[in-house]
Amino acid sequence: MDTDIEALVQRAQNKDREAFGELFDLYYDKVLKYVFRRVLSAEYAKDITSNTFLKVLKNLDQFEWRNGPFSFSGWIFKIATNEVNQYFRKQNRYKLIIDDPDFKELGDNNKEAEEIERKIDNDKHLLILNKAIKQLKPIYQDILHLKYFEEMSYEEISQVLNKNESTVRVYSKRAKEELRIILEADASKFLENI
Amino acid sequence: MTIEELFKKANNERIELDGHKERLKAVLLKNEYFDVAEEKEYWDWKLTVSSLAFSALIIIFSYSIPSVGNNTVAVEKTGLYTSLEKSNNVTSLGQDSYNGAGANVLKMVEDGTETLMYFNDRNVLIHSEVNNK
Repeated sequence: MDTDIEALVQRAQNKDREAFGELFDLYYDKVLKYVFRRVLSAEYAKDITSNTFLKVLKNLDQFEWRNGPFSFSGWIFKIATNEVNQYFRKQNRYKLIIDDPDFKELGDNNKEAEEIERKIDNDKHLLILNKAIKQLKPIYQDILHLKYFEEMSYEEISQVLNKNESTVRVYSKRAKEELRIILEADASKFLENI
Repeated sequence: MTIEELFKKANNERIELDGHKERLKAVLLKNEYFDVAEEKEYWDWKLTVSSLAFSALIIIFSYSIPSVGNNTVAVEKTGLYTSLEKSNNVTSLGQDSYNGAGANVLKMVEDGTETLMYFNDRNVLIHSEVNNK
């Protein structure tokens, strides 16, 4: 599987459309879900995911396979995480960088996005967690999402965040402790009723 | 409930956004990133053909020019042997040896000077000696 991905990456770097299409199919759902869980907005999730993949494409020539099996997915999630953090910094000033009129026009007609957001409004677990996580430091937010939603190993997270693995372990422990304190303070009643 | 359990309970639905995946894929695949490849491929093809054609020309040139030259020399040399042999002041001395190899020898007498000319088996002049009488 990793060899397949490595081969696909090499072909995509040689400008093979089909290979890039396969890589896109492999990672799109994962990236969209990760981004959506972090921003809880269908519209922004689309824009951030679109920008992430455009940046993947634009920087593909610079990518080097050197960190083992998680190399490429780690790199994509690094770009996605940077985009998410940029969104948090810019909020409603975050813009789609794809300059294609057809793509933008079609994106405006979006009943399904509203439906997804409506469903999320009913997902109290996600809302409580999200609200609590947002009170943490940005690096703790990244680690909790990657560790518990994306179920990444500490090794993978260290690659995504460009941090030492032992640092990630320490941060993860602290993030979890701080999250528990926030949840106990803000949502104790909710947790009791689950 | 642990934090891990809470994370597991939170939204694990598959998210699909009105054909966003297909549209994004289509936009990405028509990105100029891939055009560079086509352009490169085109130039590679052109360069390959032109360099092959150039190489072929060089090869033809390098073979044809020296061979024409050799022929000319050979013709000249053959012509020299034949024309000398037919001259009145030249006599054939037949086979002799020069530097351990067989040679046809012609003797030309002119104005009291005797010149011995040694030709190899292709009638190319390989040596000459002038003896004053």
